[in-house]
Amino acid sequence: MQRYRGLMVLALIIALLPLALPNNYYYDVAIRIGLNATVVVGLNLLIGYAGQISLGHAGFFGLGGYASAILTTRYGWPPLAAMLTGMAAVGVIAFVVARPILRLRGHYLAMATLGLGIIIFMVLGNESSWTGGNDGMSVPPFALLGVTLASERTWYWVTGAVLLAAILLANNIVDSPMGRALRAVHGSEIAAQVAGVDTVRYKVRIFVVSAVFASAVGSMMAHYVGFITPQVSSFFHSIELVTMVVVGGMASTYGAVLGAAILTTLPQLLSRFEGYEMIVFGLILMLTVIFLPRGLLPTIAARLRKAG
Amino acid sequence: MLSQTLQYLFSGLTNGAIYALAALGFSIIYNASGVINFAQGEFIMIGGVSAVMLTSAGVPMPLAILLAVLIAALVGLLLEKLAIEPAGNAEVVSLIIITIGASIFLQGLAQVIFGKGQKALAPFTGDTPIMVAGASLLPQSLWMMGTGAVIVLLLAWFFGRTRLGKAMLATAHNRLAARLVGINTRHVLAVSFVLSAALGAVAGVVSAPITFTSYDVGIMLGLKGFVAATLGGLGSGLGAVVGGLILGLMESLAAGYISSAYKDAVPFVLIILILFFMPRGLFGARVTERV
Amino acid sequence: MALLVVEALSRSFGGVHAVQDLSFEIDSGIVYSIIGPNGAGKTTVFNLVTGLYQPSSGRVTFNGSDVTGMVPHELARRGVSRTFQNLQICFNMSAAENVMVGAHLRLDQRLLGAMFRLPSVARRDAICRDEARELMQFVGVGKYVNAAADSMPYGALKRLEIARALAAQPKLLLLDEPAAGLNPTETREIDALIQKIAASGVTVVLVEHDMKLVMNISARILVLDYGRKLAEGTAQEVRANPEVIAAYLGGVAEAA
Repeated sequence: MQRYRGLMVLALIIALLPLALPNNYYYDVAIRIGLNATVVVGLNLLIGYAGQISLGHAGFFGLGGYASAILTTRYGWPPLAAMLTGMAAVGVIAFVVARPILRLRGHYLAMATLGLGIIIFMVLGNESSWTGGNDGMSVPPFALLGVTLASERTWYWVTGAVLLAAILLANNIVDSPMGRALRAVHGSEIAAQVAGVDTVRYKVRIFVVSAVFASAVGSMMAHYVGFITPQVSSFFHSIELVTMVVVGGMASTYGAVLGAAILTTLPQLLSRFEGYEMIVFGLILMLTVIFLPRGLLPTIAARLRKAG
Repeated sequence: MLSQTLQYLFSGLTNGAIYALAALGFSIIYNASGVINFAQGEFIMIGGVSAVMLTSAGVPMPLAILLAVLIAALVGLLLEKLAIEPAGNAEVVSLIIITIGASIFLQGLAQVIFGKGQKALAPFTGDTPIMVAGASLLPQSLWMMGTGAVIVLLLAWFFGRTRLGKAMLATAHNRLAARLVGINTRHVLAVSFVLSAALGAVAGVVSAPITFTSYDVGIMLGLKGFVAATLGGLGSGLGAVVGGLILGLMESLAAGYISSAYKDAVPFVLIILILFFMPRGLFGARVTERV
Repeated sequence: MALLVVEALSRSFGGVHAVQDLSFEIDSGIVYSIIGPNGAGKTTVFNLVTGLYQPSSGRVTFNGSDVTGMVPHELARRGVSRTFQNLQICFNMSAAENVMVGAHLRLDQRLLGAMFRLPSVARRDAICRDEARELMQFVGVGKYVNAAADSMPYGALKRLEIARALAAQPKLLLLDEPAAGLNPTETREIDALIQKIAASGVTVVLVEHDMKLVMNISARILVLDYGRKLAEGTAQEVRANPEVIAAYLGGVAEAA
């Protein structure tokens, strides 16, 4: 039961949080935290555990969102089918580009993923006949079996459930032969290879998993907001996602959730410092990586372990 | 027909000169430290932005240019001392994120100081186009290409003939050996950042009259500089220059003959193709890992 | 039958001929050592046989099949395991997990099984953990079973790597300088461990500088110099070989 302790704590928090949320605005923030956290839990598998990097993950997020938007709006597909199709399509795309990209290391990998993300961003912005161009397009609400997800409260519970499911899946992967193989790739790729791990194949798999997570959440976010623009797949959004992983905790699923929580609420808190967001953001990024290289949660956990 | 091609050629070489300088900046820092400085583009931006602000404040152009370069050089030094050195022996991923953070920070700073608008610097020698075989060439373009050429020659002299330059090359080849013969590699690292920043600033200043400058002009230029450096082979000076010119030309020809909407996509498609098929670039070195 | 056959193996790095036209055979069940002065190409031979380097020419046959140029994880699948001169430990994992990675090929590696934690996956994981503990006891680092890898001393880490290599249940185990950096007591312990491993049926190939260790446990020794075979034979034969003595400037004679 010990493995599920963290999950139960989080489930408790999710269940009790509404008591502290006075109005819809707070629900909105909570929902966005939940959605971001789900993406970041997946991205953390790639960056924190497997030690890779992706500076273009917002591209997958955007593809998922637009798949939902286009299929539901222009072709009248049911939202769930559109979302699953988006996930499948993104999975295929990620698989195709992953193999050649993940043979690269370090900054080459970073640049390749960055290039990919930007190409997706440009295509989404330019193909206005499909996507509505830079002005974006509207997205119908998510409906399943006649039930429409419209209110903030409904979305809150759905998001909470999806987040818990994502964490469960991610933790299962980490604590499995595949998860150990990935962490070994991060620790010493050569050692993993001589132990029999086909390191490229594993990196590809986890890349695809994290891309599909992003696509699913992209779809959800599109339905929740009711509108989508190419900005969701911008370079800056990709960096935001990476920052959430880095700040909250590399190789820590709950750290990823913490990072998402901090970085989603931060702009709200900083709204009085309008114009200074980039300065603060850049500083947070630099200072965290320099002084807390493993992220907040692992560092706090290590301190508590030492003290206790 | 010829004049059109020539036009594309001119604009390609003009932009290529800037990309080449940015690429050189990447290569110099990469050689000294193995770090890819994602903030390289911001040095270009700082150069242009500072020059604009100084000239609008009444500072004469030549002095403004010099000060702009010095400001960028100072920023480069601070970046190395305050962000790179404290990170110590961090993983590549961490260093990438640090420089990205620095890039965002510098953009934010520029946004606050300079505002969000675009501004142009006055062209150095006027803006009457020169006609060459039916294609028009702006005098500023000649400045850009000329400055690029002069800088490349200066760098070749610096790395080939001066003690500091040779020390930097030695550090690039084998840091431990360099330290053992008495080269202060921390010093080399600092110099590499200062040099790259100055290079970037010069590129920024000399291109500001044509391309306009703004707080976010660094991102694209930096990324394209990286693409150029990778195309030519990371760490190779010749590669950086060749890569920059090729990239500029390909962009220009693509914009002219294929589609101007996707002109900016050329570098990114190119980088992916390069990384897939020849990651070492044109002149890159072969590296074998010792186990 | 010879377990490992190397024929005319060569590898150059630019102008440096690290290994030139090297041929030797290793029978199964013995302890075989490769010795030679620094730069003789010993680790290069290891890297060629374990797939980290591609040979410029030559052939490697393992257990009857041609494995020339295969990548490390394919060789691991065929039963080749190794340790490294410069430790390759995953410091981001616990000691036990490092060993469990070694057993990777014997476990269910599929994604879906992992994601949904099928009972079969969970069960085999538990068995794997127990096996890792046993292996750690076998190599003598049993007291670090619950420790993080980055808290272990150097000598213990060297043994941990051996445990990881053994977790794959290999037919051929290559140890690259297992006694490097160890004091005489620790070296004697490694000596005993290698003999224990050989006694359990694993063919062991050793690269070592410690002549006492080599002479003591090797059935056959290959001497390399400048990438070429200088001599090959039993400990007795190699010790008495004048060329070997000359290459080592008397080092071998001292150990006799």
